[in-house]
Amino acid sequence: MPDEMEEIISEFITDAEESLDKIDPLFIEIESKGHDKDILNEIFRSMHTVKGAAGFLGFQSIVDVAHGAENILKKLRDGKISVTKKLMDVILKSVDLLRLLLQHIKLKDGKEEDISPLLKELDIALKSQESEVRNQEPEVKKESEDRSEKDSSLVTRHSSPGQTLRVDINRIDKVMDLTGEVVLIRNRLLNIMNYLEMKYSGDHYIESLFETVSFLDLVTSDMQLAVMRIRMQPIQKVFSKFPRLVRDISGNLGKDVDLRISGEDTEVDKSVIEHIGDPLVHIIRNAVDHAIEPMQERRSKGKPEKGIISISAYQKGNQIVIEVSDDGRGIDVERVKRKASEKGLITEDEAMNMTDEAATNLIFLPGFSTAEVATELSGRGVGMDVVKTNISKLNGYAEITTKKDIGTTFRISIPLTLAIIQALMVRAGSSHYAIPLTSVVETLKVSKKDITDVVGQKVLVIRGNVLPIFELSDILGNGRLTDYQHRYVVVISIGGKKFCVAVDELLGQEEIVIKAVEGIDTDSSCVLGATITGDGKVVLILDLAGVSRNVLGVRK
Amino acid sequence: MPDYKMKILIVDDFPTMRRIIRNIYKQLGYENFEEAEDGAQAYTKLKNGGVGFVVADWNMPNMDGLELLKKVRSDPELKDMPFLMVTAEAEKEKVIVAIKAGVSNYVVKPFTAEVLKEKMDKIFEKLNK
Repeated sequence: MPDEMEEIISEFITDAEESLDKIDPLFIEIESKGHDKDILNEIFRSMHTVKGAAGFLGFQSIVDVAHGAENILKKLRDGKISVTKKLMDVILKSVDLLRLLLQHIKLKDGKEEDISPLLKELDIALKSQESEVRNQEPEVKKESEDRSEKDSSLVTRHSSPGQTLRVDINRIDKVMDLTGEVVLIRNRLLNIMNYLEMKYSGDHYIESLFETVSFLDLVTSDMQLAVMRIRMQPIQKVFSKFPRLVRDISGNLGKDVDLRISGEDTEVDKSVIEHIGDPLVHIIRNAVDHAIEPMQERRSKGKPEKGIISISAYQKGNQIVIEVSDDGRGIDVERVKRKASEKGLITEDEAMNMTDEAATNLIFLPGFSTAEVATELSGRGVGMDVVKTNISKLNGYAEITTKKDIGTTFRISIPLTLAIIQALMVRAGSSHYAIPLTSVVETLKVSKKDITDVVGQKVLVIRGNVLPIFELSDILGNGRLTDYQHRYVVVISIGGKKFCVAVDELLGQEEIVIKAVEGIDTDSSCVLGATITGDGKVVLILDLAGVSRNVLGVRK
Repeated sequence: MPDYKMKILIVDDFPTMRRIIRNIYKQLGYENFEEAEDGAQAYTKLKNGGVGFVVADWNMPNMDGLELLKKVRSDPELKDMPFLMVTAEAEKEKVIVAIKAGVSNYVVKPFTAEVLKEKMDKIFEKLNK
């Protein structure tokens, strides 16, 4: 029975957190729509269910806080008092406190929170509101009149999730892992099959073996996709926190910001849900704090007083793209350059010759923080480099486009799945490597004379574009090059930067399963992990973000 | 002796609550359950047959516990279904509404296994008279 109890408690925490997560966005909706009985009832119900279950489990402080908030919510729902910012603030505060209390239960840290100040606050808020209502009776009535029109549309709000099953994530990961193994075995089979086919072509059994293996190939791909989908969740889970965030920050700064969210149904891997939140919060916080101008300034620029921040997510091929745009002042490229050269991150010369695009990306450099514009909200020493690091951990990359006084867009691209990727297999010296295909633009065969030397940097001219070229062996620091007549070149584009990597041989495209390699510092080694190829070799997978940092890295 | 094999339909929109209620019933010896997350889903399951007892929360989206109760009582096939309502606090007016609508009994949460047993006994006592 203790185990059962433990399970129920952990289920309660998950469910309760989910219920609380629903409250934030609903409140923002109330704030823009005014009194809406159905939404208020939904908020009430979320609070109510949390309280109910907590009562059974004996979490008295949760019951007390939820009860206090529920009292206000009930009166709001029944139209006995009207929605004010003060009431909402205190309810949102209760939601935060409840989250904290749940956290303590989850971590079993035995910590207790003093809930009495908030209980008092809830009580005072309710009483002062009630007395106000008595003086303003007519207005309340008017507000409650227009609730009915929303009734019909609300039925669709609860799209029934259908039959669901709660499964321990470790079990799913196990399935995922095994699927990975199956993919590897399939790859080996395909490989062996190719030899057999060449050697015994025409043989009846080989033909039917070939057919069977091809079928297995198809089914394995489908299975892989199906397993991947188990781990996918709508990005709504992350996005739902932003209305509150924007509301709080813009409220503090006295700015008026309209947040527009789209594509929240886009499904992404669970690990993306877990890791994309912080970078996005950082970007959004920056947008509200720095990008959106104060009202007066906006007015003088002829812009609407209300700033707009839009967040959207969509799938593009094998990538999930998340965009955060604002209609603020744009990034001041000259200022960024100046700052970067002051901090010694780039030289004066580099600053002079830098394209605007490259300069904008300087904000992602570690150690770069536009302190002169940082306020206590954003300038916490945590710079945009953290955003970049977090995103590269997900194998993704971020790009910025910005235009003075028009606004800025952050575009984050992340691969659909983190475990299985398409890779280009190459050879450098005697070793084989896998290069994630998402960042490969093209491959070429060039002769020695095509590679020229410009001020100590080898470059390659491709259709009029001058791109720096690096030897893979040099990057990884293994082995000397033998003399060569021609080189195979992989053109790579990552985070808006392009460069070439020269290798000895291109071996082909393969679907690989990423396995973590223990004992490797993935941040500095340019290695993402390892995989086992179709012919049974263990091959290192290159971390292109790391390679790019390494070769294009700015001199200190 | 209650029929422990009787299928109990647990209706609540909060998954943890369903699990808690199921757990308490298990402590009493019942072993056959079905779940629904709102009144509408519960009604469909009731119409499919096989359910011998309903325990429902009051406040739920789509169709709340009271609406479900009324629907069950006005359905010739289901009108005699034993129906236990779970309410939050002992709100007298609400309880009266439920009794008028024909609820078999009600239980205030949080409740213990003993309280639930008492309520179940009362319901079946009445039913067997």
